[in-house]
Amino acid sequence: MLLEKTKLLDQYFDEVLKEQQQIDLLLGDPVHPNLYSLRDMARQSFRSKGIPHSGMEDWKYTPVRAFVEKILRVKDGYPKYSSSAADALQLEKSCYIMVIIDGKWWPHLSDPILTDSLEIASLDQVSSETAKIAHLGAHADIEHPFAALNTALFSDGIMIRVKTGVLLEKPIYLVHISMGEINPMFYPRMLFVAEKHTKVTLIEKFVVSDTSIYTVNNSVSEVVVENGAEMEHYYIHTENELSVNLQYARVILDEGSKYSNYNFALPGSPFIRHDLHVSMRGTGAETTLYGMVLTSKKQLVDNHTCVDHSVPDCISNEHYKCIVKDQSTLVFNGKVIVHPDAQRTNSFQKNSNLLLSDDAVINTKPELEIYADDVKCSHGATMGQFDSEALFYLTSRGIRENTARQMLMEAFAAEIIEVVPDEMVKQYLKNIMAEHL
Amino acid sequence: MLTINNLHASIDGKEILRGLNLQVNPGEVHAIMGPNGSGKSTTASVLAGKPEYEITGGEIIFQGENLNGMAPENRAAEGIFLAFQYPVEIKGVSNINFLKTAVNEIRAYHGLEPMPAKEFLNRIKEKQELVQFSNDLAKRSLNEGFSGGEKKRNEIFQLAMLEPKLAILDETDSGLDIDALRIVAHGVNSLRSKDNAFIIITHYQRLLEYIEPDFVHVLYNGRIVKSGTKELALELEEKGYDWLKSESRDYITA
Amino acid sequence: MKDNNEVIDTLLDSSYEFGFSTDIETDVAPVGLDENTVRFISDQKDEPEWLLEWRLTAYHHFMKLAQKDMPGWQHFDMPDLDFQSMSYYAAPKSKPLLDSLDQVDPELLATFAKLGIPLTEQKMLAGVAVDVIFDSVSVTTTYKAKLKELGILFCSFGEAVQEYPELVRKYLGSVVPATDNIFAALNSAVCSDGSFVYIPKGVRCPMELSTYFRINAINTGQFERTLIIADEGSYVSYLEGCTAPQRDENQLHGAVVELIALKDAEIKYSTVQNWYPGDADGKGGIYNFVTKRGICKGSNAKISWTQVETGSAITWKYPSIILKGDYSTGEFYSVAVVKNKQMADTGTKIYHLGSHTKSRIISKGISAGVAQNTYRGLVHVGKNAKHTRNFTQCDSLLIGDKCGLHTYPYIESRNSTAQLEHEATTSRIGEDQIFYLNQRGIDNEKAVALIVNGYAMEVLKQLPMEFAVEAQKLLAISMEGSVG
Repeated sequence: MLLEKTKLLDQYFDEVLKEQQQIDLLLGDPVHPNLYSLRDMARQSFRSKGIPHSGMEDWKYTPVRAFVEKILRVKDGYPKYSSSAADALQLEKSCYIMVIIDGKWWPHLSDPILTDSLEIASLDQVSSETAKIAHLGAHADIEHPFAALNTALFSDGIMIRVKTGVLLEKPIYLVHISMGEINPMFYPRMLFVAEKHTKVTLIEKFVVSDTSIYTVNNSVSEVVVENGAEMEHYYIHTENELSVNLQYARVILDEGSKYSNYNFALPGSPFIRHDLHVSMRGTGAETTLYGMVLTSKKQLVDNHTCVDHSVPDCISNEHYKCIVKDQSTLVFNGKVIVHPDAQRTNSFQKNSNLLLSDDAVINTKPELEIYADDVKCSHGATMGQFDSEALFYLTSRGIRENTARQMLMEAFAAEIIEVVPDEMVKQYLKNIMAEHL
Repeated sequence: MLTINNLHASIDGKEILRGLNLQVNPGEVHAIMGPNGSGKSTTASVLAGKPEYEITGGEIIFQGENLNGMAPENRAAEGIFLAFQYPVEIKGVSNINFLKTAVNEIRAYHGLEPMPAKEFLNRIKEKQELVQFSNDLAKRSLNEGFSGGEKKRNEIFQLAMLEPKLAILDETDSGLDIDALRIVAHGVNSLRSKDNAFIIITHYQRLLEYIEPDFVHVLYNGRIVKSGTKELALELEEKGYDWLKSESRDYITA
Repeated sequence: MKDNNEVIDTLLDSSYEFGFSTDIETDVAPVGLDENTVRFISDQKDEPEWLLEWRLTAYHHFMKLAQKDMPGWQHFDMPDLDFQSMSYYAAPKSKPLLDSLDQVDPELLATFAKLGIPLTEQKMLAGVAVDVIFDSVSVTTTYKAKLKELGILFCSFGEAVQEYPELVRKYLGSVVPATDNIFAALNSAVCSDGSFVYIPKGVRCPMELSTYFRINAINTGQFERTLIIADEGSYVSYLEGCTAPQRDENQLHGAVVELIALKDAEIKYSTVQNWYPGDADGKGGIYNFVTKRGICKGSNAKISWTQVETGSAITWKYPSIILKGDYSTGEFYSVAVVKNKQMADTGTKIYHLGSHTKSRIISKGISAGVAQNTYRGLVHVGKNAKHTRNFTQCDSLLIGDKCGLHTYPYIESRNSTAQLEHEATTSRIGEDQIFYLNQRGIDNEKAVALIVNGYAMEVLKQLPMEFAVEAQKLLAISMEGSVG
């Protein structure tokens, strides 16, 4: 029975891949012809690896197959979610809102772009092909099974390009709505380019629509931050139990650029896997990765980050904090690679976890791979309950134990929320965090 | 107000208090002195209800109620305050938010509405002055990055805000320079009234020059071996604690 | 100050001090591995039927695993090991039944003297009981009689099979099952000799017990098996040292060590591993694939592993501790040094199963030349293990800009009362430090040795006194030619 089911999913992908291959042959590649051979390689790569399993080091704690498999049962009347998606628009003020449904950008639902400092377009309608040809498919690693699957199957996507020298004041806010309108599994593809000496804030939020079915979002983003540019990039996950998320992002940093990523996952989605791979390609680049993960019920949230220093004089800082409740599972894998000759690298990483239930599980692995000697690198991981001294101090002042725990939990989360530079986002996060703590 | 009868308490199976007796009445200031390891801090922790300590015998009666088994927050609400020897630092919890929560939870315990914001702020302002606690400190995370003196002043500031019936000062003088000591003592002295009481736990007589006790007790090996008035403190200062050891042996065997 | 690289190059030339081979006649099993090899070894050692059966089961499991891919998670490419081209048994020919040192082959004794093994009368006075494993066979165990008075059994594994079969049968494979991994399976099938220790209830072993291992014969693998049982309330400190001659081809060392600490017992196990690491071009050297694991079976038991790893072309080794008894404690202290083309992937696994169990991991990695050094460790807290604690500190010291140092700690917790803490840092020997020492009249080489020893001190001080001194010297020798 189990074997049969396993085969079914593999067959499913086999057919989907074949179908897409035929479409490509028929119509030519939808995005640009250079991608044709890349798609071929991606297809081969996915076929040779298949759906990741626990025997693969990067998937040791993450039984992804079970969550993807459910798409096969969607048609048998999987329950529909019926609450409202109004929450999706809470951030609308003073942002450029881009609505992306099942990976497809809907310009007529989005804010019009009235400035020529910015290009936002569907991948097949990009006017300046230069950036697209230079970057699309050039950075995502098709050795990653789901990056490969996306590369082989995506049919459309969005490109956002901030033109040289532009300091964009309004954040660009991408609302990813999972609906499963055509297919329960879809393959969003994003290309973000911050050209030289630009400044931009990107907020990506993941929600489901009120008519959503069970969906699997298998997305790939390629992010390029050119010389001297600065990017603030937010991920906010507030999906519900019908939405599974497989996110892969590769970030390329050129000389003197700055990239800060703030990754927030809140209770809801049964399964989130984030691969965030930042490559420092230009000297003097800086990256900061912050994460705040709160899991409950039977959620599984897995963050795999990789910061790779391939040139000298770059700085990376990472801090992920997680609060793990109920029967949920948290996986964190933070890798730092310092390549030969990446001298004078400074890299710091911290991972702090609160495990609040004996039915919950935390598996964490901070990794350092170092091939250069003149570096300052450290990582630390802690895991535990509330500090009993702190709890006693608070209760000895008359604060009830539940309140005290609440305060300590908020304090734990505050360390990440407080560093969020965008006031609007910070306030929003404080509010939704308070709801869940 | 407080009656401790033949109190025995232990931690990790090791007995620290071995038959402690103490009577504290409203309006009184008691000093408990004694050498290191005699059980001074244990006494403070046990009174405040620190969970690691186990009461293995005897009782603590506070305002007619047995404290044994009472949660620390309820003791606080009933009016017991412990000024910690080592106040903890809690990142991310602001001093103000912390105090507001404490004040209102204690009020809730007594069936009162939360304190109106304006009244609360006025009170903060008033009490801050008492210990020369700057606005800036009050806004920061609880004790985080505070100097030793600032932490102790924060303890007295909280004492002033919560207005307990019985305040226990656990080695509040340790690590304080003379100016900070004066500030702390001034705070305590101005909070003294006929309705409240203080237990001052200290190793040295120094603090007692500024806060005059009504009674001085010497704690040794988990019980009070000698009681007297403030002259006893001077005597201890002069002779140290060594002489006690032989004397207390007589006392115990007697 | 000399140019860094120049100094590194000259210093890297320093050679392996223990690389001589001894010309002793040996009994060698025919090259290759099949059921007959297993039977041959068992037969040579006059083993009981149950042990042969156990070996054969392990052999069949090994053959199954050998069909599959070799483990792939380690941070080096697994070498092609041709299990059919090596010999699985070599014994000095003139051997057997020796009661005193006088009967030991003088050439062998000369070898040991050269190795600085405390076999001499003088060292014996220092109170070290030594079991010497030469290639595959235990040649002598000193101090046996004296230990026996206390009820302590300390002998070769082969002897234990003959003399104390019930103890061996009860505990053999109980901590490292024959099916644990491919090298453990191989060891279980062909293990030749090793040491056996039993400390009876309430006895505190009055001296350090020690084993020296040496691979001498050409083209031979060494698969010794060590079994240490500390009965309730007992204590033992055990040390093993290893050396091998300098040979151009790689030799496989696939030992298994099992430790069993019952209620209130303590086992302290120290290793100074100095197998031949190969030459500067990576030619030759020992492949050290070792499975070491201990179990704190009863409450309040304690096991600590201390290792100083300077040798071997490849080290693949994770001395582990299963903390089953409540309130039991596990400790792992490690210094691993690699230079030239050496590769080490080493660390520990600690399984917290009992409540109130504690563990502590201190790992110091040092990498020079083009070597790769990896710490890989697991801290696992089971669902029912309440109030456990772990502290892990992994420090890395890089010497030169062509080596690599890596840290892969796996932390798994499923109990909310666990307090786990992991820290890792990376540093190098600063030019300012060297200069400071230079200025005080200390040359580069000594300065490096000094700094490295200071860096490793936290671990070295865990070793028994006299071995700590040896280990320090060894570290200094290993560091020769590493830096400027």
